[in-house]
Amino acid sequence: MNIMTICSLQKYYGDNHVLKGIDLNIRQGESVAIIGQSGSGKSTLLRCMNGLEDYQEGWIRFGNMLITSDEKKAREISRSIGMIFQQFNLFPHLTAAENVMLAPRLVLGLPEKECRTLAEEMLEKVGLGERMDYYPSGLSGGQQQRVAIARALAMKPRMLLCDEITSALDPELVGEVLKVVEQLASEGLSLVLVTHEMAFARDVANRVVFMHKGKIHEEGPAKELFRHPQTAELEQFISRARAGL
Amino acid sequence: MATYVLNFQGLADYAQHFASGLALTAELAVAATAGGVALGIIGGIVRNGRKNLLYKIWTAYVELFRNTPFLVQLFFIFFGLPELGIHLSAEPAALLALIVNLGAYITEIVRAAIAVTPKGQWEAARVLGLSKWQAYRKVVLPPAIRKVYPAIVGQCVLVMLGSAVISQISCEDLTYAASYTQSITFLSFESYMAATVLYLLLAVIMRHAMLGLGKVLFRGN
Repeated sequence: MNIMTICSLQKYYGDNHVLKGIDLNIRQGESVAIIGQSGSGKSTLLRCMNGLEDYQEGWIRFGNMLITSDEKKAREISRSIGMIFQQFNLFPHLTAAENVMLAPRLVLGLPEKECRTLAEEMLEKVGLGERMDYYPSGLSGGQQQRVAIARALAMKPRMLLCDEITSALDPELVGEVLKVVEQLASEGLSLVLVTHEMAFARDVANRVVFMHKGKIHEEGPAKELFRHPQTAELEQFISRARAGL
Repeated sequence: MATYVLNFQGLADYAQHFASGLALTAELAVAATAGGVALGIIGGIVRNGRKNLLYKIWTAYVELFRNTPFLVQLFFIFFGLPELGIHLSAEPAALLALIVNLGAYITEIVRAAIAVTPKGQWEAARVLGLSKWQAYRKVVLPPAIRKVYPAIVGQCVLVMLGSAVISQISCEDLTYAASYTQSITFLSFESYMAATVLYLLLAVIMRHAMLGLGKVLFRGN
């Protein structure tokens, strides 16, 4: 069953044609990695999926909900689709627990006590039960990103968007974040990951989408795609990524 | 060579005037700070919002009050507003002038602080489902105000010191007490020296009290 359907999506930044007709379905419980060079439109596509960016043509559906960038829709979207960012974007004046509790309290209207329990549970899940009352400034990058994951999970999303979530991390901290994401994937949460971690895309994603110049250039089962790229562009991209590793 | 002998004893009979003048200056400072900061925070939000009518009105207000002398603003409110049918006695007129003057400056301080909020903070608030107002209140304003808090404190102290001119519309503040005392005793040096010390004390206490309050209000990083 498809959890999200994207149809003929077109997006312009002024004269710049960023997305040139994207068709993509995300199935329930599936994890999809979007790869491609900088400027290929992969982050833009991801940001369209929860209405952070607008688009000019085509449509995106999540269940019965049409995803648009209309501010009034943001609350409804937030109940179904979570997002994690490259720069974590934790709220610096709130502790880890308060970061996690904020939206359940304000958006879902859960009582304070319940939010605290929920925060405990979510931080425990990402291995930070001991760091509840730390401010972001007292946490490592990897820990901050895991708090951000806990914060997103506290809204009980059905789908989670990850926008290059390990790109701002020191190499030795990447593993702890990817482990958490891997666990979420195995639990059946639908994931869409924009990533530069090729090994991660191969091992965790069910399906990989390769974007090139605003289009989906190639897609397929992760292992298949990396082993037998069908287009010269993907082959080149993979070999470049390997050289960089 | 003439020598001048300081005669503070001569002020003793007027201590009561200084005390009540100091009290009025302090009261107005507290009220102006509360009102001006509140007005400035609202203004900072308005000036970061859509460029609608309210934005334009607020921009004009800020420009007007930051580019004219406080004394003229005070005269306008005290002598000008009655022409428009709004009659205020001296103290409410002075307080109003202090609030709108401070509010204009704080608006610009808060506007700048909000404007440099990383885009990611807004986006994180949005994808979590917070409304614009919730994002302001819970996510954007606390770190923004924390960042510029020393500047806000400085502006409030400045306005308190600037309130010396309200004696011009017969508010019996600290400066008024000094003027009154010296006009009777002719001890002008002593009178203004006493006022200076009291202003200095008030300013130092005000600054430290506000910075102390800030430590309580803003936790974390």
